[in-house]
Amino acid sequence: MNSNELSLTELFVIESETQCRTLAEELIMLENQGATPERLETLMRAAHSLKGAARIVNYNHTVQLAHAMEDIFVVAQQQKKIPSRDKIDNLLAATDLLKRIGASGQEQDNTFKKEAHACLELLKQAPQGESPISESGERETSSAEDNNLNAPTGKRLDAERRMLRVSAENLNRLLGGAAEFLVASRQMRGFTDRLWNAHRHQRLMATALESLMVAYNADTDENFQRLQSMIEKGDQLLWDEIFEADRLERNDTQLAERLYGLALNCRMRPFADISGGLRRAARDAAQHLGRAVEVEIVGDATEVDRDLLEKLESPLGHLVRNAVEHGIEPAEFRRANHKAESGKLLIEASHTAGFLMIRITDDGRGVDIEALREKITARGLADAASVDLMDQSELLDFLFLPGFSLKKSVSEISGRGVGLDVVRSLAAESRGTVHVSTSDGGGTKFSLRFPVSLSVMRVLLFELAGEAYALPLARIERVVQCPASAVESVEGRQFFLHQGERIGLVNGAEVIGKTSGDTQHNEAYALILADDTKQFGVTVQRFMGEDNVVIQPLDPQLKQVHNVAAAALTENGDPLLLLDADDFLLSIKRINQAEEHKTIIFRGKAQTANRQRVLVVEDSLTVRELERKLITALGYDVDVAVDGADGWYAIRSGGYAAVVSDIDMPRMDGIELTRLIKTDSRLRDVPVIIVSYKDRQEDRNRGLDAGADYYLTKGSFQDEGLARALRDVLGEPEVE
Amino acid sequence: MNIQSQNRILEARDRGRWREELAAPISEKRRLSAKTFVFRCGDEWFSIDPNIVVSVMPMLPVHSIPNRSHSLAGVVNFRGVITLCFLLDKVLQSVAVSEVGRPMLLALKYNNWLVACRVEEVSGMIEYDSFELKAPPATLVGVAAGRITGLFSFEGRSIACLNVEKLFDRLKDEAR
Repeated sequence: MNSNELSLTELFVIESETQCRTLAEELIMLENQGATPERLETLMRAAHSLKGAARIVNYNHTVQLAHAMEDIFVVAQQQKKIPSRDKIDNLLAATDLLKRIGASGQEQDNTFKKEAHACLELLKQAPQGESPISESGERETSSAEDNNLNAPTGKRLDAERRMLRVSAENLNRLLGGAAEFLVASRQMRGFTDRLWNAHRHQRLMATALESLMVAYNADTDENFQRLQSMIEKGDQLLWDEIFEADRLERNDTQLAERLYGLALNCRMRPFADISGGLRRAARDAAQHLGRAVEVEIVGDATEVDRDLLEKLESPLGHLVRNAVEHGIEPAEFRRANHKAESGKLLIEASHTAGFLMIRITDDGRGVDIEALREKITARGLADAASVDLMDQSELLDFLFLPGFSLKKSVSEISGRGVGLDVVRSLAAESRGTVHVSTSDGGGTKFSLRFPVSLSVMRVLLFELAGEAYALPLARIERVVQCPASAVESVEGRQFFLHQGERIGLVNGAEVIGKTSGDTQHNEAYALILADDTKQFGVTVQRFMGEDNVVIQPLDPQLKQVHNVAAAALTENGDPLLLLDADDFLLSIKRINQAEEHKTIIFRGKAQTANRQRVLVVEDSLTVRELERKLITALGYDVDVAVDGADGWYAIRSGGYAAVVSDIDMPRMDGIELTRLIKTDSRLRDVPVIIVSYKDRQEDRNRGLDAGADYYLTKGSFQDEGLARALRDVLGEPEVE
Repeated sequence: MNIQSQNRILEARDRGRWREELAAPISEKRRLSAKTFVFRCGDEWFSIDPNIVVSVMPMLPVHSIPNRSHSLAGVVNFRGVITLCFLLDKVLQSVAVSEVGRPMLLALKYNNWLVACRVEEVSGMIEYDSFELKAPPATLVGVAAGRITGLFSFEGRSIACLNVEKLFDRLKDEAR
């Protein structure tokens, strides 16, 4: 939605949110770090802008409050005095009220009148306890206060990283366009594939002509020679075009992938958007309890999915308040225990190994493990003998139970036994985890881990009744290929033995309500799903691999769709449905309860199982044959290609579990081949093992830099290096 | 002519002018006053307000949605957005197709709801004589009658004008 499509009130809601955030953040900085002319100017401007905007929409209470706040900042600027702590409290309370009025989108007199008047009175009270601004801009305070107020903070985000307000609708449109480009760029591949085909025909023609010349003994015939040279020229021209088309296709795909990634990144907002609120929560709690706390925030610029960020604000606020009340000890207690008088609270946000990590660490007393044991036993959550056997992490897990609290009395800040369970629910909802660790007297650390984006999910793709479906990878225990010979049945229910467990098979297509399931003949592809107690093998028509997909909600007009959580697009741009794992498990149980229902997975007799296929790319006939025999003997199927270009053509057709390649080859060498495979979004997961005579370190580095998974020398045929490498990347071959 | 002039007693000179104007045959240009978008569902021809037609394209791959009515074919990827796809002949309960055409997909948007509808054939935008719009046959009753604002003839066949609001109400019902 463009700003010119918004009503004045809607615009005011946006303006109010922005100005109130500035006011709240800067007031906390003012209190912690002291006043600088710039800071007072920022505060004065925020109040002034809010006043102007409120006047346009006739929000009179907002006008009066903002005006009173502006006055205070102007006086502070003129007199070079920092408002007292009480005054800052009042200013923060006024900011909170302004925020609520703004968010409500309506300023009904009766709703806010009383509060606004009370707030206004407080703001107008004569200033007391104001301290002059020192030359450095710091408040001139006592040394004790200095300890409290010197909380370091990150630098403000510079202009380049400033955030712009873009509507979710526009963002989704951008993402849609980028996804469309990605799909379009991949369609080019069909064209290059057809060129490759034309080239193959050209080669066949050349071979046929050669045979003809031999048959007619026409090696020296001028006409034949001319024809041969024309075919060769055509071959060369076609070859050049194929390479050019191939290059363009790869460039376009890479560009489209980059653009798509960048568009996805637009969904991100900096952690700073909520860290100010967390600092405020810590400050309010500390003030309420009369404790001194230094808050340090690390990673303000860390980018977080905007949906997740909104969900995080409240649970993190709870953890912060919790840390101040339960963790940080009163100053006298800390003094007696040789700790710094003011407690430290560290809030960190970072990206680690593809996840968003948020850690909240305090240096307080830590969780009293003995008290925790007693509480667990007293509440009858476990018997004393079991509790004695539990280790620390098992015990700490009880803190996340609904209604569980170590606090003896309920306070305004925390101790109501609500909160930590909310934190855990949020983590589960957002496909994240939460972990707590503690040390006696050394503090407590809460670590939360979330996927970097809520809109992108790693899934396993598979086919049910000829259509693409997916499940979150995290919900799948294992994926198995189950030969018909391994399937037994009891009372007509088929099952197979897996790691000592008898796992019942259900037909995935039937579970989602397709009238006839996918019947398998030789072997079934099954994914193992589990709830708390049971495991199920769900057969699918075929696996389509893993992928990161962008989750799109289903049209809300559909209401609830059984077993389906959302939709997404495959890399070809076709729609797929993302199954709801919990709902799907319930459906499995439901159809199993039907007495007459018997899933038939296999019909017909078992035949030879399909084996994993390896491509050997080698120009030397001897080595090629040696490798082929060796790898076949290991239990894999083998195809061969005579050089890099031939290999690249074969690999593009798909279906290879691994590639074993030489380096020095005509037309395209093994390094280039490896690089092509590893930069192709659909092939990059295929392991590449380079086997070469070259064993200098720089040769190895070249191979590994290109992305090879293994670099072996040709001597490895004797010492089983190749066999080990293949087993390592592919696992043990399927036994027939 | 505005309301005020309608209420005023016409002067004799104006009455004469109006009489002449109204008595004259309607010119071809004036008669072809309404634009509509024409397509075929099953063996029946329909037309719809062209303002709601976002795009016309060849059929796209459809992914079915389990346990939904037959008129909801599933979802398609329309410009990167997962969009519901209806079989309009089933929605409108048209007579089954006898003439095989090249199915097309219409992307329609009304009240911010975007849907894709499969139709058997698209004729495109035409102008028709709004004076020719006649009431549906008396056998068309109930909800179905409400969906058709009238029928007109074009190139020797009857074309039913769809009421957009009623059509989208029906699509909502089919989606549930």
